[in-house]
Amino acid sequence: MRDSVDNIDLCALMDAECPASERKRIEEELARSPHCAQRLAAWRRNDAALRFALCAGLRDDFGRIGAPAAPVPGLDASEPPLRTAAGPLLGRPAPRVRAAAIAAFAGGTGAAAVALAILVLSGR
Amino acid sequence: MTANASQDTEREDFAAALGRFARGLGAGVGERSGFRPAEACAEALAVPPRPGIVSRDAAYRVLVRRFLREAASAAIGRRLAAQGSGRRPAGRAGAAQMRAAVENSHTFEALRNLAPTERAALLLVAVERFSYAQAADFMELSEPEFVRALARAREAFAARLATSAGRPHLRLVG
Repeated sequence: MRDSVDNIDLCALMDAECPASERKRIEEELARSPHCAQRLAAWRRNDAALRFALCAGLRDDFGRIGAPAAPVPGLDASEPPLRTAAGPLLGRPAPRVRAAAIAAFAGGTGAAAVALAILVLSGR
Repeated sequence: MTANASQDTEREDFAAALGRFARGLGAGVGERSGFRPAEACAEALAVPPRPGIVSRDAAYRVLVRRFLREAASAAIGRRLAAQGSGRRPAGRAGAAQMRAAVENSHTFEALRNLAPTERAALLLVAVERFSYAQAADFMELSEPEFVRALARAREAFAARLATSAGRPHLRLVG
């Protein structure tokens, strides 16, 4: 089956290189073609992954290591982090993430202690 | 911060961005080939801005044209093809290890497999955020030729990533 939106149209839409009327037409076509919409989503993810890989790993050529200093355009902060088999690829987690992890751990430990105390006190 | 310090930081950031771009262009080519990212960067950074031309554009233009010129030579073309699926050895520690992890990723492997023109087109737009008109100018292509190269690049890049998605190397995890 022939795709209703060709790759050149998809590129133009992704890169905001088409006029508003053309953009509207392509978006309407995409709404009718889940296959093309999926291709566009995959291309967007791939571009973001490429930016991420280059910004994260190659900035150290000039003495800086790790995550890019500025947010990577197109990479949603809610996306899962890149990891290697040995652990996270990018440095330390954000302070808020660390705090949440500590709170979760502390909360879990506290709940276990309370449960144990109840069991002991109830004589079971 | 003084004006000089601010300019130094700006220049340093620009040099870092240019270095990142050069390394992306030369992904998998390495020091054995004719294209040496660091050397190409130094050349690009030494270009004085010409009247009416922003120095950033001038530097990218020099870098892209150098890469494409050298890619067009038989030597680098063969190396690009031969090293397309090759993996780089892991570095010793720290920065080298980080770079090795990234360069061994599926993303880099897919990048290495793109033809030079397609690779440059993809990097200029997806990473460096140049407009089609600017990127086409850097690559000495007409705009329609450039867009076709970019579309081929995205298609090939996606196909390569899709085939490598099942292999456990460097992947997105939930």
